[in-house]
Amino acid sequence: MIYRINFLITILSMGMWIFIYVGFFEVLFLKIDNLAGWAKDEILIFLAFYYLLQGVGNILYRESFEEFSNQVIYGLLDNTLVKPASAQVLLFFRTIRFDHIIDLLLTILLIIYILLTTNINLNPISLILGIILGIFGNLLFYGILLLFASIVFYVDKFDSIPSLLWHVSQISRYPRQIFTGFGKLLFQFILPVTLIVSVPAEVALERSNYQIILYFIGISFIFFLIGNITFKIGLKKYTSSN
Amino acid sequence: MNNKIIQVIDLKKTFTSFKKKEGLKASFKDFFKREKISTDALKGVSFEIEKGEFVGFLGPNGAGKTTTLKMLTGILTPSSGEAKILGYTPWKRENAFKKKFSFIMGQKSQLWWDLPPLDSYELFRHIYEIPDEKYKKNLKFLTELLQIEDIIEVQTRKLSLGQRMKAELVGALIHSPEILFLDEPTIGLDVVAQHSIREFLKTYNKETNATIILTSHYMEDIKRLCERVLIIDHGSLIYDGTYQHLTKKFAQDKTVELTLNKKVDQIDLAKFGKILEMSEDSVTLSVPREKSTKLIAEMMEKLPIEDISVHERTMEDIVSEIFQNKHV
Repeated sequence: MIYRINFLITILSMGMWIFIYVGFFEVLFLKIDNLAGWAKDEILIFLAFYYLLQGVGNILYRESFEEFSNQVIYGLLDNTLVKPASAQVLLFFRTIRFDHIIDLLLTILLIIYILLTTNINLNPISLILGIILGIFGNLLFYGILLLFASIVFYVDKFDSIPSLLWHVSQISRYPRQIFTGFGKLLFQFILPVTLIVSVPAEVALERSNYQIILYFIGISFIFFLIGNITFKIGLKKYTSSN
Repeated sequence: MNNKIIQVIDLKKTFTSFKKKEGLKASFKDFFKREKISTDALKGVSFEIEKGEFVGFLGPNGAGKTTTLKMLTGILTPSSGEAKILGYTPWKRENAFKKKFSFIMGQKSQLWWDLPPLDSYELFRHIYEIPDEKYKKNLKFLTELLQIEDIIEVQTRKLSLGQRMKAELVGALIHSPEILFLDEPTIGLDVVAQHSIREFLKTYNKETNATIILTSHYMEDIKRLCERVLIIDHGSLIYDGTYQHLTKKFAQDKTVELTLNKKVDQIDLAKFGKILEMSEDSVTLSVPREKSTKLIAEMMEKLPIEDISVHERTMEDIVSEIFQNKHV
């Protein structure tokens, strides 16, 4: 561990955010009974799923996506493209952030807090199914990010990947039912970011139906596929840099 | 048996960019309508290289050397043309092909900056699927040959430029590639490190019969290592032949710089060669290569010399002469 201090500071700053959001919902539910049909204990479970999925993304690929645009612009893909391995794996899983494991540990603490402070009864099988669907949530998140990240090949410069990543992450923090009208059309069908956390959490809480589950699995594969195709075609347009 | 492992036919590459005019108003206009610029980086290059050859790829900045290497390694896709490397089309980026070559760029490190080279080598071992025994054997052979056994466990960012380049070479050769593409491997290195890298490449080429294609601005690199030279300028191949022929034909003179103790008459200096520059206490002469030793000895004897230095003509001079003459 050469960079111990950096590791510890990262852990502290990330842990702080989870408790700020839990506090936010605690205060919010002093004024309201439910949020778009979600009770307080359900919202807290939703939040646990959000941090679980974000945590996995943060550990595995988030930082690599943030660095990707600069890698393309400054021609740093050269060394990756000549390696006999998947370019996507080498590029988007380049930096594994082990310090983000704290996200997962804090998520477990959050679940313990929920179990201690609420009357919610979670069916273990539903919970496991919800976690399995979380894998598709990450597949969908990854596919959306890949699609956005690949834009850099077509437009020469694309500095907005980190902020886009942030926005996608922010929208997925709220249950899909919050968005109605055009928001629903946009965030459930055109760019289905609200499904990333909502569907796995709904399954864990047994408030889902098979149509939305099938749609969620299908759309996750479709976005993963579209992201891959855009990336592969984009690679042919890569111009490098000296 | 066909030994031609690299075959390049009429390779072309055009880059497109947009003109950026000066000022805020122009930038606003450009936002709606941009002026496209097409640059022909390669204008139809063809050549063949046989197994085991050590080829020097020369040309001034922007000539198309690196672009050619990047297409031969599959990093760039050409606008048109064909290339077969060991029977593979590079830009199809097949893993089987990638295992057979290495590409070292003097200005781009493939080692993880914050990790010791040994960690990067370990990663390469997995990526290239190198058997354990072969990996250990190659690592020992390469680190010993380059004399860097003691630095491969130090973070890459803490290494000197020369040490880093040696560490890069180990990483690039750890999987025993059949072809080695080197783009300015000695750039920025001091003369000792340059010499060391050159000696290593020479030995490696001899011992493994690997094919090596080298681009460099240092004439010395080419002179010491390459029998065959390809010269490219403005995207066109303008010379393909031996180094000896190149120097015989185009580097017929050497430049001699003299610092004098007292002023010498121009007529007396002109006896030794063509005067290129002259001041009160210094003169630069161009002397015929084959007579240079004799003439320098005569200068030492007859002129009030305080200091003397002898230079080969630079590669840029030779290339520009070839290009101006339009024939080779």
